Amino acid sequence: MPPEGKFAAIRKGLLEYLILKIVAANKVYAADILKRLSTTDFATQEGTLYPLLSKMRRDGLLDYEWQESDAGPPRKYYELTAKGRSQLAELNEYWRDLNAVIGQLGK
Amino acid sequence: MQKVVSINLNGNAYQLDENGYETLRHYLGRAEQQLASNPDRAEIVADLEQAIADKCQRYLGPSKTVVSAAEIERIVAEMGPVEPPAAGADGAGADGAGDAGTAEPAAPPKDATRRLYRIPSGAMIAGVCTGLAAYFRLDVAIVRIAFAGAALLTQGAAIIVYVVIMFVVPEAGTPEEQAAAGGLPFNAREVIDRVGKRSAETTRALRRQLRRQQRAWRRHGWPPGAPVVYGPQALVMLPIFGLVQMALFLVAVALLISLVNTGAILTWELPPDVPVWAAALILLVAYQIIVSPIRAARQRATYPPGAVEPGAMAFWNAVGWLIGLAFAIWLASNHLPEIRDFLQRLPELFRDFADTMRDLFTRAR
Repeated sequence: MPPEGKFAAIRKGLLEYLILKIVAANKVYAADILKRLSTTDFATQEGTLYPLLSKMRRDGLLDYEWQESDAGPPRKYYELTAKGRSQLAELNEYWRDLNAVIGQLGK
Repeated sequence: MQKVVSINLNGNAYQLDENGYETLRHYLGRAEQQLASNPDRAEIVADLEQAIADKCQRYLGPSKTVVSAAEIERIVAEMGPVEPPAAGADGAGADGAGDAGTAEPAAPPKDATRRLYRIPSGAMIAGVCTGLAAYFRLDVAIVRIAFAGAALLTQGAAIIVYVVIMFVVPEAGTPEEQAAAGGLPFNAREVIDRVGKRSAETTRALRRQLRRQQRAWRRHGWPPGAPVVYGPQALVMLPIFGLVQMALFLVAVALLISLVNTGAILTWELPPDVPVWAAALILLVAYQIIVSPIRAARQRATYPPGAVEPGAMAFWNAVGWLIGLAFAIWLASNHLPEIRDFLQRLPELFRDFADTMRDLFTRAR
């Protein structure tokens, strides 16, 4: 098994892609994203997610709107912008190519 | 008893006890620091506060209105350290190793931040020696022999150290803790909380034991060893020697704390090739030598020649002294930052010492 640090680097690089995927599927708020990731190898904490979400919003990939919740204060629900959707499409394509390359190497 | 602090988390009022407040303030302070250059800093911190508030809500109910320090520690651990996202594609690899801790809380602990635990399996008393052995990577037998030797040399003072460690150091309960016997860094605040809790338990246990003992005495008469007859001179001599010894003790403690915290005895700097632990050892031995004639004189003044202090009384004297000491340390670490510093530096000091000893042993072989 390769050193833990290498996996961590890969996970970190992919996190943004995964968030784009999650937000594309559903209108979600931050806790939903954490919950969705928690059962995967990409389990993430607020301390990492919030700064990343804010950066992605600054980059114009996603936007949020406030929505009242039945329990507690209003929440920020995130959705993809047009730019976010096109970037997700690019990433999906890149990921497919990458998989194909990895599958072919060493054959 | 703890003071309660009211805080405002993104518009919600919460009550925390004082230690919990400190933890939270530290966490949010670090978050702000990490995000210093982030244009959305205020918004991110507000989101973090909201998430913390939601988590606090879980611990509160109609009959519980204060979030405890332990709960805050848990919440902060759940939140994870705040870190700015990688700036570009290359940023991901640069601090990938640092991220291992965030993405995976159970990442293997680094050697430098081993944590001292008591290990109950294989323990003879409270697992202090087994824990120390795991922490210093020594054989348990060596630690036990060292402890026994130290107890003899210091006329029992090492036993006090043992009891203090017993109070201060957590037990490795879960298998993970046992496997880690040193995962997370040593946290003074946790230690202080734990001492408070444990001392209450121990007081209860001691009280039970005392009652049992008293019943036995009532049934069988007082224990052998008749009450001591104090000599007439005792009344005059005892306070003087006692005071001198106490003063010397306080001076020694002050010197030791100054030595460990600053690496200098008052203003006198150590020569660079003398490690702090060696100086501390020399200080302790010097204290023992200076104090031993006074102790002997005090003994002679208190008891007539040939009399032996009755066992039970000596035992309860020692117990009283231990409780007093544990309480004093707990109080001091709560209120004096120097003492907190000192307690935090102690494991490091012992580790230095153990490393040097191990080097000596391996070189001798």
